[in-house]
Amino acid sequence: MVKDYRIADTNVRIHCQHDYFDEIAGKYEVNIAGAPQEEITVTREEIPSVVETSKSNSEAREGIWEALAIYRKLCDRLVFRDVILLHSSAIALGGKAYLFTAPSGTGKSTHARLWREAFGDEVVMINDDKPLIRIENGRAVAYGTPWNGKHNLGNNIEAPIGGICLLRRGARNKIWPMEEGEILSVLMSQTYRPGNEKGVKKMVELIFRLAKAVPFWKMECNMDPEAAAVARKAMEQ
Amino acid sequence: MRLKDGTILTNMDDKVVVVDASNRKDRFNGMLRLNNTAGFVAKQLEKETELDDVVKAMTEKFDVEESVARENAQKVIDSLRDAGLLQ
Repeated sequence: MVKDYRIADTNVRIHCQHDYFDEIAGKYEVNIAGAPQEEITVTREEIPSVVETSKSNSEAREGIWEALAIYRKLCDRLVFRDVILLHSSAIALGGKAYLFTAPSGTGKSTHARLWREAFGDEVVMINDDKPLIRIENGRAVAYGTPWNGKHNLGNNIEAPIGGICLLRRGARNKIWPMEEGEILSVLMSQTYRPGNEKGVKKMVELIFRLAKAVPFWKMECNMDPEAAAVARKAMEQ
Repeated sequence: MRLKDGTILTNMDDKVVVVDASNRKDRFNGMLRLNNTAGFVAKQLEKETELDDVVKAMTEKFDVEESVARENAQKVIDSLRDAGLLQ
């Protein structure tokens, strides 16, 4: 099928084989008058074929893989439009986006959930797993996307980034500014790396720009509700 | 000796940034930020070269003694090798 979507302020036409992507991307569908800015195709050959116990399981798994293949191809293009993908949980509060990044399993989603529980309606999920970030004119904006992670937490919204925080588990909650050198290596390891040299080079350039555009923090945190308050106090300046 | 295929050098602010942009499984996943001199050495290694040639290029470009240039060049080469960036 072929459908048009608007993702990260970009009109994209997507050709794909399965229904899964359309199911997760419904909120992003648009009618584009004229040519799209980007056009992505995923062919049957590009999706690993899976043999599972039931046909519906195979279909489902292939659909999920296709959706990820679409995202990779899209990110390969978007980097040239000044957009990168940061593996993080992104929330919006007071009109600003706050992103929590960490290696998988550390507790990014958990921390975002603590913010939701502590601040209720003030918090809106942008994207719980892989938000897109546009860096332009010294400013950074985080976008919701159809790819929201396991629990499908996110919305089709965008917000200027108020801060990015690297989390690690600790007994007590404390947060402090991150050093410049570390910012770059954290971004290098948590940013999607395009599949071609030119793309990687552009990604590096965008990482440098992002490092200067927003405040970066490091936090040791536990699972107490207090963690959200400590983080907010520092980041919402 | 030379840099592995897919190694890219980019000028960022006043540094030369070295990143492995290849798809190799064992690729270096970080980035090196080199100052002026070290960046110059790295640039020499974009094509196949020998230490003597690097040293010669350094003494021509910078006002530095051969022994100092040699020592500095070796340090940079060692860093690049440790990061797995040399063929």
